[in-house]
Amino acid sequence: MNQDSAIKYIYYSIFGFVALAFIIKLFLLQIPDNAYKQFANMYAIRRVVKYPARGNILDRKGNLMVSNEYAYDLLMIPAEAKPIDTLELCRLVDIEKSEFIKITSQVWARIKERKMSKTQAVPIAKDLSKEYFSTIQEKMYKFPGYFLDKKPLRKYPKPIAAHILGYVGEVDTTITNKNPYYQPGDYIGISGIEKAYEEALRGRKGVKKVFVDVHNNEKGSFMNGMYDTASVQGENLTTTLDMELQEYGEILMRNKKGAIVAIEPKTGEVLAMISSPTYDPNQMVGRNKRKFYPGLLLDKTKPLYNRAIMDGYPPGSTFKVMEALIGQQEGVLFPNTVHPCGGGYRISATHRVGCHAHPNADLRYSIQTSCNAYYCAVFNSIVKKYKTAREGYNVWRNYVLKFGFGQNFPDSDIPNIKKGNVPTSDFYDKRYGKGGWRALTIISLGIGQGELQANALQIANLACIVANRGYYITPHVGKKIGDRDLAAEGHFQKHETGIDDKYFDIVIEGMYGAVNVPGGTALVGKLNHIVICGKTGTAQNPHGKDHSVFMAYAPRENPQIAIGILVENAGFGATWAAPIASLMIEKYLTDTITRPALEKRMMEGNLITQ
Amino acid sequence: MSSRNQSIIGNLDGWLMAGYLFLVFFGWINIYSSSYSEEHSSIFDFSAEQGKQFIWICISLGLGFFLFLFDTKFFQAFSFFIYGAVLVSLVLVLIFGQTVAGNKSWFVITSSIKIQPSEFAKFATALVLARIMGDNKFSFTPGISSGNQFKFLGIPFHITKDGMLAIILVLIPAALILMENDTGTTLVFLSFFLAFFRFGLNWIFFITGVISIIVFFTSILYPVGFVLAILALLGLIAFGSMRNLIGGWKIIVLLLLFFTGLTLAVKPIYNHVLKEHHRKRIMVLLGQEKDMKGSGWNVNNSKMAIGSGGVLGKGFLKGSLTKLKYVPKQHTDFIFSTVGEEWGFVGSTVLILIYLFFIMRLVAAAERQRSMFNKVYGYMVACIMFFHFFMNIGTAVGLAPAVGIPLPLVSYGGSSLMGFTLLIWVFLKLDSQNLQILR
Repeated sequence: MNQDSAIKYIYYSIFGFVALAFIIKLFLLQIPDNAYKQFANMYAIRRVVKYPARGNILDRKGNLMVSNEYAYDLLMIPAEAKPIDTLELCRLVDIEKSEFIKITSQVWARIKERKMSKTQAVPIAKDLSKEYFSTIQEKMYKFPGYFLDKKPLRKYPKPIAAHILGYVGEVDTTITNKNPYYQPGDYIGISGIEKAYEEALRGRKGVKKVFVDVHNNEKGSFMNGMYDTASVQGENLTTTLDMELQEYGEILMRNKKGAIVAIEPKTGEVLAMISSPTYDPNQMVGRNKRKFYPGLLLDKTKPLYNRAIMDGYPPGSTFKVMEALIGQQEGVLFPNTVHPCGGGYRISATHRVGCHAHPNADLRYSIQTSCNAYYCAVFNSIVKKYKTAREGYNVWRNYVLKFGFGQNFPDSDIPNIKKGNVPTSDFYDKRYGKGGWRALTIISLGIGQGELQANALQIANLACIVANRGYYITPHVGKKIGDRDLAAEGHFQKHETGIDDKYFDIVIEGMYGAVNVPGGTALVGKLNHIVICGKTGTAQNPHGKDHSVFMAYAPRENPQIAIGILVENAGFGATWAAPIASLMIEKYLTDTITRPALEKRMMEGNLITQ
Repeated sequence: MSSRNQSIIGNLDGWLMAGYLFLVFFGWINIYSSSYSEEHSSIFDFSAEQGKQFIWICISLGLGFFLFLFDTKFFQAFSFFIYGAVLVSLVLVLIFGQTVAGNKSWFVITSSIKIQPSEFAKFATALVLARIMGDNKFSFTPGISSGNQFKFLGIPFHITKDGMLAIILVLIPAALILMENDTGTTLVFLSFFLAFFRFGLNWIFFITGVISIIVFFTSILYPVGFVLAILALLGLIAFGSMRNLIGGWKIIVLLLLFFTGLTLAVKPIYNHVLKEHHRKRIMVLLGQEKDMKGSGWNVNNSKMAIGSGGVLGKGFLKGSLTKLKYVPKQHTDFIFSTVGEEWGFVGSTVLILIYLFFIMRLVAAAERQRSMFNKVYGYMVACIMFFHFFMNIGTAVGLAPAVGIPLPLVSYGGSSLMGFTLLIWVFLKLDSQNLQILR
């Protein structure tokens, strides 16, 4: 053997040394009094998910709107469940024995099909209140393999703002498939603010590894909690809502169908969003949900539906305010423009748009009195300024979109806003044939009727634009997450409409007149100590009595609140919508009501059972 | 003699063959155990890891027998071509590859088939080194006629120009793989140096490497001045007593300059080049930090799973920590924790001894080769296997830093299994025709 090949023994010894080191290390890990092994064999190590309480939701003044309360689930671990007095258990948790048998037999069937593990806990009864807990807890020793699990549920101190707050529910498979954070059985914000601010409100669930005995009693944390991840408390959300105003609006809208949206014009903060009829949000929590949800779902007045953002109504005469601004900006309308109105606007030899007679109405007077003929003429002149009706209509439509109509405010935090409808020129091409339509064909758009669809949010936003003289901030409901100011972080943008400041004077003068000058359409809403500017509307309803529409802002100087309101089947805008808006404004700005008789009449009015 | 040479199978090294098959099969059942779940309860469930590994095993065996069809001359003749092709693929993966777990080292063919060219780079490098070092004229040590000696700044080094070429051929793929962010596989290329010593690489390189590693870690922990003072002291000792042994004062000065430069560079490299998770790992390894949530987590879980195995283990498919998916990457880099938990001290020791035997058998087989090409190649295979064995099991039991490389033939992964199959079966083929080579 030469010296070269003797080197292989050096290699052998290096390899052998390493192998020996490994074996010694293994010996030290595996043989001596072995804490790991005992832990692993004597107890089950269970992964316990700690759900942090969801963050509270506050109103703009810091009043609590949504908080949490603990409830309990009764769970069973199939592998550890022994025969028990089923009837007693069912009585304790208030379920039918047949239901209990149904649940458990399904579980065993799934185990047999190897679709789930025997050691996986399954819920038998959910959302038991504290009262149940105290009676059950002392009898749990009778039910080996069963245990109670505590979890936070939503609680609403006042039964208001159900729609905009939204609700929390269990995730479904479409969510768990998409987002690995959620496991079946987890809760998630399903709608409204709960959905929009889900990530901030939910916090972060933690995982704790604990030793448990056969009763699932925790026997201490595993390795001193070395492997636990802490749960992170959900953050509190301060909303822009004003609880008192919200509650007051809901009382005013009782027994009426419709919606109110109130916005602070200079910030775009939604002060109140009322959809009526409404429901108590506590009815959508825990066991209540099973009791009330089917009834709410089947109710013909659709209480689950958020009319403030989801319904589309023709905006009616409130649209004329925008019409007046577009006309001026396009240079076809001036404060002194007079369109003759002999009680209507002639479209053709046989058709005319009806109106009361407003001879020689100028721009201001046309708004104050809501002259239909005048705005048919304005619409006609805007469209006719361009070579083709299509071109002119597109210019007009572009303005309308900039005013927030026909769009759903993509940077808003309010989920599920419906766009409404501002038809495209293609739509009319299809209906009338290319070149087969003119301004007069679609003249009803000029007075907010026809195919137009808008919601209370968009109408309130129009009031904001007038109050701000030309722009709006995206309407939103989130103010602060913890201490972080959302607006300061730039979440909500300023949108210019492209209408010059100077064109607002005369329009505002007209809106002032509508509420404050004898002959104005909304004189009923006049307040002695606050100057309200407003515009009434009546949305034509082919299915029944017309809808009452009103928009307003106040005070005239330095506006604090803008409001849009729709009351279904209430007829002319001044009869219901204007007085309710006026009361809301008074409540918000002065916190006192000087017209108790009007207030009483509005509160007691019932437009549903008629 | 010629009659014996007709049959490849007859000349196969039975022990190596048996070792290969045992490791692959044992790996497969442990992958099954660590990937077992109620939904994927069959070992042939092709939507789960165990089923996929079975397919990879079949493909690898097919590949192995296919390699037997080649003439041994093929590997020698095409070594540069194969090496070049792998280098190209390493460059391409940097451009078109996808990042998996932080390493941009994968060609993604479908969502379940991904190829990692760096696993094949070890094979290609081993081949090309065997090719140049197998040359009769090759030597690491400069001979008496030292025209071949490598010189730097006029200072003669203890290495030939050919030797430097061998080192550079190792460093090129290593650098490319480092650019993929795959530190673990890059370190595997150190195993070639381990093999170089068999073929005469001067021990001073080995000492330099060891001192470099010590300097690196001490410079992180201690002030630069202190480290430099120690180096100066060592330099004086070397100058005084080992000048001739090392090769003259010029070499000593050059080494001192190198170590000083390294000492000064360590802090900037540590703070600016290394990433946060690298720093964490180094700190955990040096015992400066107990990071139970981050990088220390895997290793600790692995130690716990192994520890809970006890003497005889919990039994196949019965490891509760394995079932709880306690150890991350349990079917790949931490497969040994499953072995430890389910097979216990006895089973793990048997696996280690079989591994040891397999690697020693590779060295023994390399030594009996008549051709230098075969001999060099055999050593390369043995050293690569050993390095993986050392780093992987060392990580799992907490004796080596967590660099994340697979346990050859045992860990889950198609590229890795095929890479090692290539390495080993080419050697089996070379060995089987060893006796045809005339001395």
